[in-house]
Amino acid sequence: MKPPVFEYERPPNVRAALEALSKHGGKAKLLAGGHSLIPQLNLRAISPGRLIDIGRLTELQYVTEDYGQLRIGALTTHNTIFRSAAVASGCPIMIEAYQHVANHSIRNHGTLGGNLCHNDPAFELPLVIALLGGSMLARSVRSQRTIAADRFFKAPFATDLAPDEMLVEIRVPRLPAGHGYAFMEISQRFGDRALIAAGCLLTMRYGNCRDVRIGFRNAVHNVFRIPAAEAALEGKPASAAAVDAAAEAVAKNLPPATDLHADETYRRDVAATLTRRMLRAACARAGASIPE
Amino acid sequence: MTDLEVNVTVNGRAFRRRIEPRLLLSDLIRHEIGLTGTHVGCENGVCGACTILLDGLATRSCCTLAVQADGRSVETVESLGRVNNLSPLQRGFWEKHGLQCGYCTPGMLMLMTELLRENPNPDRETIRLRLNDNICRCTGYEDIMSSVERAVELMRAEKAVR
Repeated sequence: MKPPVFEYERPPNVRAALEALSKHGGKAKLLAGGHSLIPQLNLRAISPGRLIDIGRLTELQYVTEDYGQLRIGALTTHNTIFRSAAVASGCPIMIEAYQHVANHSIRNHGTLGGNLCHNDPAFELPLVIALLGGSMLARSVRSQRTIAADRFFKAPFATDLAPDEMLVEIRVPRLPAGHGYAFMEISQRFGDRALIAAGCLLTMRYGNCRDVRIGFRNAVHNVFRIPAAEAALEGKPASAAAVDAAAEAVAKNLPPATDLHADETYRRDVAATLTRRMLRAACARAGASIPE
Repeated sequence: MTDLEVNVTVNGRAFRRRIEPRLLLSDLIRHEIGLTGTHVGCENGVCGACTILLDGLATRSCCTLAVQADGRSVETVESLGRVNNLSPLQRGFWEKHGLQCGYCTPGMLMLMTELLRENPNPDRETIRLRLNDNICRCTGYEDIMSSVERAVELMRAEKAVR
């Protein structure tokens, strides 16, 4: 189908975009890459009165490293980040996750900020940012504030942003070389919406797993970390038994989700299997391979 | 709703049109400019039939507003060869039977045009991975991969002759 009628403006800079957003508030939508927004318009799922096109604001397209963190401009395209050497060295889990994000043509135009603000419960990047303990810098004509990932991703398809606020920057800590990480997902076809997406981070200290973070998306809920699964491994040596315990905890604690593509039992089973696979991969990357 | 003026270069030619902001780039190309080689499949970003190059990047023109292409350069399937003078990529598809009904073909050709520009010598796995972008319901993709491999050979031979 075709998009419904809307007014359109293309402010020349962030300041002007914030003013437009403040003026039109809840009636306007920001247009970044458009690859989530325009399909929604085509399907007539939404009909905003106005689009504010921020897609050309080069001032929000960057990846920079400073003080142990990566700062990524909200309008940086997926493919720019996917190819970034700074991201590959500081946050390799992000690169691994990007292999599952849509497809190449969409990554040419889709932006990190647009992806996070859309917060589709099948999207990978909100999970990655949450696992990394990232934070979002939001601006409005009123103020500027930093929002932790836990608070930012409020509900499926919803964030903590006020109607006049714009996400301008994403910050994630750079992780030390030698940390363990893995990102895996199961979808009906490669590149399709994830039925289950799973990520984990850990470090090995004195032979024990530390700072274990295990998280999921199930395409239905705004689900992220599973503390019970993390506790099964935290402070313990990498072992098949500990990994199995974490997988069991995931199967038990994953919120029930059934949709057209997969029922609850299947999703729990897949999540447990992915937990075993990714924890083994992460432990191996951290130098503590678990024998089969 | 206010109409807007857009200036777009399509296949090297400059066009100026007054359009509604809600006009999709695919419809600008087909209805306003009259180039119907670009096909529209799903119109919500799933199939890739409408793939064109926007400033050199493979782009789903049904997920792009025409106003987003203002001041930019568009390449469509019409920028490739002609019936009597096929481009190496088109010749590869012709020789290796890379199409059956042909509906997805313009999108496939533009998707692969971008790939061959960034990597003139892709292996089959690289082609397969990129083919993930677009859907073909006839060929089963094997012949499309062979077509692109054949195009690589043809391009290499062309270069050697020069």
